[in-house]
Amino acid sequence: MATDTTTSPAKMNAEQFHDWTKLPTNAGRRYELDSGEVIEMPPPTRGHGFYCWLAIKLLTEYLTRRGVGHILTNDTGIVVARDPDTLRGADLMVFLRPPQPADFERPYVEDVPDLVVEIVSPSDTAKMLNRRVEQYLRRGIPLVWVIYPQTHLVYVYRPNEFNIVLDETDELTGNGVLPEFSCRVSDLFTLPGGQLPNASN
Amino acid sequence: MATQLTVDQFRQWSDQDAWKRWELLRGTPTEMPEWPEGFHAVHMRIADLLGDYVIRRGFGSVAFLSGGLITQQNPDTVRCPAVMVLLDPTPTGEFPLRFTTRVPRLVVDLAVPGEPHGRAMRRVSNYIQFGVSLVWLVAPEEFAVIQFVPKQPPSVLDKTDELTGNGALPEFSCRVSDLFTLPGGQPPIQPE
Repeated sequence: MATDTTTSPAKMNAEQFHDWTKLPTNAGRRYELDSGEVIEMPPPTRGHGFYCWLAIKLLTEYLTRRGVGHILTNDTGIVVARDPDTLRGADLMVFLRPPQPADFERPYVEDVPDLVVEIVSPSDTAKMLNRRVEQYLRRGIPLVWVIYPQTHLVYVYRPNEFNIVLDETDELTGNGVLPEFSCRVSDLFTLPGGQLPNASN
Repeated sequence: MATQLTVDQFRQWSDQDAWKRWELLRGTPTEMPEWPEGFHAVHMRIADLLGDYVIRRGFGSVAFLSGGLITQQNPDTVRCPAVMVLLDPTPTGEFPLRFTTRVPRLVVDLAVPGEPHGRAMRRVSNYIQFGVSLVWLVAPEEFAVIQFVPKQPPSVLDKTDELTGNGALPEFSCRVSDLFTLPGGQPPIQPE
């Protein structure tokens, strides 16, 4: 995730927001909608992209072994609340089912992924970070991973449970949501070949 | 520092420099991030509000200067939150409260810009695992409080929201904005 910067004064719903982002004046910029208010997001950093790649790689390998499922990346929008509307750009969303043609009739997600993954940027604030987690869980998403590249930690969130903190020595499992998923936490921070970069930007 | 410190050794060691904040992690003293300008005012304001609450109740204690929680022993770990509220009577030998194994009803920490979130959140998790039923992570630069309770997702409260004791502090109530407002209505920290 990236840190929000400016807020537009107008309140919108998700559909209005989507149309608004398509205006020429907003081309090339990134936005989210939080309780009807537009928030501009800065572009993701190189480090953010790098750690997204490592997570995608692991999850893709998992889905390939399963033979079914798909991942949405690139901050695909997901509606996490209505009235007022909140639309977030999740770093990764994992669905254990295959994509259906009807899924692509809307530009954003309105159903519930099985897993959302967020990679923390150094500029993220405590408030925004925890607000996103709260919104994902209240939407009914059964599993949320928050990956901290600076400290090589993973926080695992499930509804009605306090978060679990995992470090590089721990195993990351699917917590009953991703059947038979397992990796070491260090795999999320390890380059092919076993290198452990200390990228924090 | 190669030698691991015990709680008693850490108590003496950390007193050497009153201007820095330290915690003890598995026997190793670890410096905590320095608070930016304005954070000390918020800290004292929070201690003030909670102190008033304890006084109204007639019993309990608030540790806000150099208190700590002994969350692990052999090797020793002492977490040093910004504020702790305990509602049970203080044992004679523990007054004034310094480092304790008793479980506070409420722990308050301040979210310091620049500190990796993982470290701050790890502290929060430690408190919850220790048995604390209510943790507030106060973000002064955002005029917000992130509230943590066991078995629930985090809850973000903005300055217009009400802050209650959530069952841990019976009959406590204030507005989130009260944490950032000095007497006279002047906010101690200006938003960026």
